[in-house]
Amino acid sequence: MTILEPVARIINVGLPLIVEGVPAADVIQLDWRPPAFGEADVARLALILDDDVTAEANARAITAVHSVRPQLTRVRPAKEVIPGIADGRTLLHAGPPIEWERMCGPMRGALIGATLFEGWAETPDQAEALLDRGEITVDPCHHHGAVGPMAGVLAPSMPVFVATDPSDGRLAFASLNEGLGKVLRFGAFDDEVITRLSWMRDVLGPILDRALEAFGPIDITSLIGQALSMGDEGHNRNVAATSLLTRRLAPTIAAMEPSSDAIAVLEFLAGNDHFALNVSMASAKLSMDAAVGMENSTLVTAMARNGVEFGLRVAGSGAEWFTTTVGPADGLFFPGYGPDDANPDLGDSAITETLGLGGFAMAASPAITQFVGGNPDDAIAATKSMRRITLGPHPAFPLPPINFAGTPSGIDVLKVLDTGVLPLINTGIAHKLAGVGQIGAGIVTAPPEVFLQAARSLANRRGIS
Amino acid sequence: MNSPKTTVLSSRVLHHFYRDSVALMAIASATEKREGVIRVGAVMATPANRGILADSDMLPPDLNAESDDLVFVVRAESEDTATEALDAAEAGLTAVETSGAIEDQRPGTVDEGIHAALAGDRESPANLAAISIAGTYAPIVAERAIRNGLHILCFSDNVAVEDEVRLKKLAVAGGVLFMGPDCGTAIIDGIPLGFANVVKQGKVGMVAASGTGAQEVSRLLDLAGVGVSQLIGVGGRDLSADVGGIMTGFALDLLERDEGSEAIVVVSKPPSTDVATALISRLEGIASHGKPVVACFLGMDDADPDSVTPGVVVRGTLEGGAIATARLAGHELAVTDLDPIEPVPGRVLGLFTGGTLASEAKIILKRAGVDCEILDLGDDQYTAGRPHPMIDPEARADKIIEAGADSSVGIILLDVVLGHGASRDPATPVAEAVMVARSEAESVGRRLEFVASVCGTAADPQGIERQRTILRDAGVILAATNASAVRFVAAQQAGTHAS
Amino acid sequence: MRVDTTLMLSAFTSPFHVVHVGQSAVVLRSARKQASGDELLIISPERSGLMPGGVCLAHVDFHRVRADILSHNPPTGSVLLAGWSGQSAVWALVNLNLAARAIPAVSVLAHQRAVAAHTSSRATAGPLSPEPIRLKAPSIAQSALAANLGDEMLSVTIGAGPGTTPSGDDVIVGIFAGLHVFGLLNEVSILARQIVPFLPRTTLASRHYLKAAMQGRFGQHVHDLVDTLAGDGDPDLTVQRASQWGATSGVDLLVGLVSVLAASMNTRSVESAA
Repeated sequence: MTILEPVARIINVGLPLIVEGVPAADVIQLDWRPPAFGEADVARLALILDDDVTAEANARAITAVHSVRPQLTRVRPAKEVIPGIADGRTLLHAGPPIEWERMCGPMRGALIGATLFEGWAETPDQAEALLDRGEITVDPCHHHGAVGPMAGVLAPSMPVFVATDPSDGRLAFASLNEGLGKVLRFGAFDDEVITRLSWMRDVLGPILDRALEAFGPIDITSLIGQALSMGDEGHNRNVAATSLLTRRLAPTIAAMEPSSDAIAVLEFLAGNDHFALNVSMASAKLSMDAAVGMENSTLVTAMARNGVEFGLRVAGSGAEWFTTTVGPADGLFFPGYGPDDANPDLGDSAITETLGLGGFAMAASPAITQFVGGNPDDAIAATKSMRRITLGPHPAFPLPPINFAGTPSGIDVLKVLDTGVLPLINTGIAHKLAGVGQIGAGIVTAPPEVFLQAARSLANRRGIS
Repeated sequence: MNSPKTTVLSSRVLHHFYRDSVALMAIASATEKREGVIRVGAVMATPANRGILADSDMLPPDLNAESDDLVFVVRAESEDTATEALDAAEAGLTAVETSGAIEDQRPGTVDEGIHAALAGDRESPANLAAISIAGTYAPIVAERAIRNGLHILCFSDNVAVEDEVRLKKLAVAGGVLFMGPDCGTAIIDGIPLGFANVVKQGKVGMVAASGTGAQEVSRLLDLAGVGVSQLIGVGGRDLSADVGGIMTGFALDLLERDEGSEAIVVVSKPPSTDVATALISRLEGIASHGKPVVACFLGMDDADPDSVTPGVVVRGTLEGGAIATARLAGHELAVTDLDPIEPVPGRVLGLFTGGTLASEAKIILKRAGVDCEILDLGDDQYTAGRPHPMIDPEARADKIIEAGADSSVGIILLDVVLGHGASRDPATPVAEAVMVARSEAESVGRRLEFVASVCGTAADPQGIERQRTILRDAGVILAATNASAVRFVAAQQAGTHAS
Repeated sequence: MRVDTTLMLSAFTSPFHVVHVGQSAVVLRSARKQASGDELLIISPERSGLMPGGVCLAHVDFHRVRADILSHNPPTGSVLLAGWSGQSAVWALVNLNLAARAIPAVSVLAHQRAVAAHTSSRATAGPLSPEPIRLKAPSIAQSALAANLGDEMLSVTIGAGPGTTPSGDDVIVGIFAGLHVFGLLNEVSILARQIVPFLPRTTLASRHYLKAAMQGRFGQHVHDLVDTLAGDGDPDLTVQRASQWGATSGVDLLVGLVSVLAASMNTRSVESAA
């Protein structure tokens, strides 16, 4: 009788000494760490959760996400398309819910700017007073099908990208990117900022919308897919996607009257390498929303930061946020700035990582790795490490440097807990004071606590204790 | 211009040989780069390809191949060069066949380990997980492995008894072994796991709830010329009332059905009363179907089939268990006890690294009515943060030196355990400490004797003869078995009291 | 787990002989008594995509099955597929028929240039090179469209070139794909009739793919190539991706496909524009 058929293959968890009598080729030595970041009770819950019910739910969830082919259909004023902000005074912000009093500097600045932009106040002091008195409702973008980078503040009059799921008509939204420098999303609200926002509302938005109506919807998946083969990773580097988008729309825009506006729009697109980031974000949001509420699924549907807390949402726990205090990103700083100047991590842009772009698609973008301190080998290693915590490759996003394998997509809470590997997020670093702007960029990992909370909640929903 | 050389054409046909074409092309072009090789062809031997080969003067005249055969043709400067090139190409093709996609990251979890086993060079599924992590996590890791159909060797201790029972039931339901928790010794399909001696493969199936007990019995069987088919560890608590012998029962089922196991020995402390009744009747059942069984239950009274327990031989010492088992397998294990020496004044101190060997010593000395202090230095109270003394012998060396200064001590009883897992050279620290302790004692005119047995085999990595020589050179009195060493000490003490 | 719709369920209950155990596919031959010697089952991993008459498994499952087959000693014995179906949770029946569709002329021409650049940059001769066959592809395509592909041409194309599916056969499969894409079913049946007598002159696996191609069924990698041609994919990227398929097969196939599309546009611009 042989017990180990056909030949002994031994997985060793722990001391190599235990298997020293076994031929080395037959041993698979694990690089083991305590599961669930050392929380044995959660590790036990995760083990019970990891059953056929979850596997089946996750298969359905990731298939749903990967089946979405978002189309960029319109650019419309937010109040016209985003549910729940047309009446009264409501402003949207990035990340999980947070009260005005607890908000960080850049987000407060952005809300003051948006209040001025809407004409609800004449001066910053008046705006602040309105917000202090609670006369303006603040709510997360994510609660309205929208996403915004950094402070992520969306006001009713701002134009937004509309991404449409052609199979069922679902929509998702994102603000239009203002470029770098003094911008609202970093908390600046002076005249220059308000003037630019007004131009975006009056000129940029309408022209882009007319161009889309004339040209027809743009398939965002194929746009991003192509950009990934041109050195973008869909979060911190967007120059290829922006160029491709501009190339598609430019002939249509160039023919528009008045030509001075058309030229101004094209110049704006030419000068803003991150313009397509918000398109990528809206598309990722639309894709991930396909799995929201998928019962028993442990797939992460959103990761977002509000500058104070990191928030996580999981398919099987619907609208519930799992939050924990977030620290500043560790990265490379522009000359003259350092970690002491950095605001804690901020923005909804981690929705791109949730789908498998950004930090997960690092292999595609040798250029970005240099920016955040690393080399192309590190980038490939980073992408491969994300395979350990994802449900599968994204079929529409093949990455050339890893033999055209799809980017690792769909974070599984259980795999994060089992491996101890945390999602990598590429991020810009904002100055903690409103309006100073971006002072660096880096890679952050999602905090472990939110995954522990998620497992507890999911187990609770399944009646597991 | 070079003068035209004579060249040779050589070929090899690999019948019905489909291979990964990427690898085939790589090997063909590597072959073409070899010194003295002019041109290479590696194609399926279809009529069209024969035509192509003929066009480039590469068609072997006597080619005997069909469309589904791969023909590898080499034109080279000499016959030898051509043959070497073909040999290398064929070897390369075979190597490709057995290689697979290599994971570039070390697996970190059981699931990843299972994938790595399939993706690695051997491409054979994982079938056992050895677990030696903190007891808090061991049940979690073990459960994942059991769900995936893996057998378990759980070296970790501090596993809650409820977890043990649950996991063992899960394992039995899945048809896999759960060896442990706190299982230090097993030999599965001849592969030693944990602390195990290198013994010959043979016909005796062992089920053991004790680590060094299993080592002593298996190495004595080896000494008698009897091999082991399987040594299945079940963990020290398996025969307790709480666990109820779940894994012992499962292991016995396996061994009973196993044609390669012609006799069975169960090594354990005496089982709890309830469990013992069921177990003995189970063993009787096996014996009555023609497979002889020895129950080596430490401290129990010896009994033979025709008296109390029909069909089952019961032995209360490891040595007794080994002798009885060897006899059932048709071999005699002759243990020659040592001749007595001049009586030594002072008490007996046992400094053991093997827990079961310490127990056996206690039992024999108690039966002989000899007062003694036997320490199991592997017990938690002595290890406290240090490695087990079988791994790190220095802890015991300190104890030996301490005893040298203790004027009440006359004889020190030792065990030296060899095999996989154990220290590379456990004898030397003992020998050095013995010499220090003895000279300390002699400096005050006191006699101090050391008696030891070495639990090992000639095939162990340490080599039993080398280890025995080191001890003998240090003046340690060596017995053949642990029991024999203890008997010698008992006889000496009896002599002391008599005189 | 994805399964070709034409695959009989009985495949999972009857024994097979192992023909080939490769990195990108495992090829089995039916061992049923009534089966003709050519009935093959192709098991492929997700990375390679579903093949005609095949099943496509998740990477892990593929390796498990592959290891399972390799563990048969010798691995040429017979195996039973029963029980494998439990290993992949999700079943999907996939129709591998290639439907007619519009391909922009611009895209065909751009791909033709990219393929030519790829081929010329690697031009070599000799028995290991697929180039001689690739160079003949345009004239084979012309003749196929004109329904006058002579036996002489076929005898030096079918079974010719490197690979377990010889290059010539891959080119022909590509030509069939092109004919199906443009809905030229009359040409398909004429070409099929001409090729049948030559099938014994090539390998078992190649015969399998040729027969499927005659019936309009193609592996998913062929569908992917057609998709990029129909969309506005980057031609260099298409060639690069095709070159990942086997040692030469992917590009051979693309050469055949593009040749027949280009030839068809030259001769039938009116119909294809419709």
